[in-house]
Amino acid sequence: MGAVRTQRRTHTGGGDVSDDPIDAYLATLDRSLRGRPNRGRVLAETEDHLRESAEHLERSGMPAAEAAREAVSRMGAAEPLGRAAGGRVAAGAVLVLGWVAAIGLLATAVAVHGPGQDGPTPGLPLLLVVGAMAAGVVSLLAAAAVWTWSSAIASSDATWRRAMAAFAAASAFGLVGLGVHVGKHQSGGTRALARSARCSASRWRRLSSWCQSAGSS
Amino acid sequence: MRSEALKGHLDLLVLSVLHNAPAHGYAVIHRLADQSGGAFDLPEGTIYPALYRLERTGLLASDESVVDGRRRRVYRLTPAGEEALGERVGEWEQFARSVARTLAAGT
Repeated sequence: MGAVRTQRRTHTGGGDVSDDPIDAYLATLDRSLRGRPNRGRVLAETEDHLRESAEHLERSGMPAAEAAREAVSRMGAAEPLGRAAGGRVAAGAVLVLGWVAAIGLLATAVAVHGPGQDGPTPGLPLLLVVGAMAAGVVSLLAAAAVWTWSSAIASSDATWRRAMAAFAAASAFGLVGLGVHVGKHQSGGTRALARSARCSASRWRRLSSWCQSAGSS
Repeated sequence: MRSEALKGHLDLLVLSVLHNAPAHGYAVIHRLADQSGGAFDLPEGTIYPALYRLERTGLLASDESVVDGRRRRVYRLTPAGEEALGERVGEWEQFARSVARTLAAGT
């Protein structure tokens, strides 16, 4: 595990960069594994493979430095290994999509009923803010479910694996519960949204007519 | 043999080499080369995506131990993996017989 520790120090900017080809390979792999829950596992497994391969080559008479280079060469590129480890892309995509939706909804709420546009219809912005919060919560729950499930699979410890699987199940259960709750109140929410949209349209018409009259006078 | 030729068959081959005895990734790649008489001498990193995929789908399980001061992960077939191996071997044998019959009829 020495090399893995070396690479982590290098990553944080505090350590030296080793000349060992195996260390360099692990550093590249470490970068491609950033943000993945099974990073430690994949790094340790790859290091074990490379060191064992180099040891076998050395036993067959190859000099140590050449054996390390040959072990790395036989392993192939590091990036596909990082991609194959899975976990990050799915959870990250869910999180990003959720927060983009949340920010979009909040921006819409501000644009429709922002400062300087006071009025008697708080329904639509309230719904948009609640929608933004719901999108954020859903994305967090979904990302937690994906991430913890990946961790559960990747973990070597049975207790931790069970705990992570339970958390993933709880997150998934939360998502289902939220879906059921939204489904139950969907008709009321839709009516409120339609009512708010009508109010906003009415306000937009008033604003347009005020602009036209101001322009003509 | 080129690694492209193995696409679609690597999972079956990995299940097969792990059938009789659990092994870590380095041993799996060397068993593949040995048991194929050197035909399946793949870039060693190609085995790990297959191992991760098979573990994610529940056909393999793994345990970690410390060997020579290094963390080593050893893979083994699960009962679902044993069952899948049996099914896939049957499918492969049927496919190979069909190809052989077709080739024999055409020559």
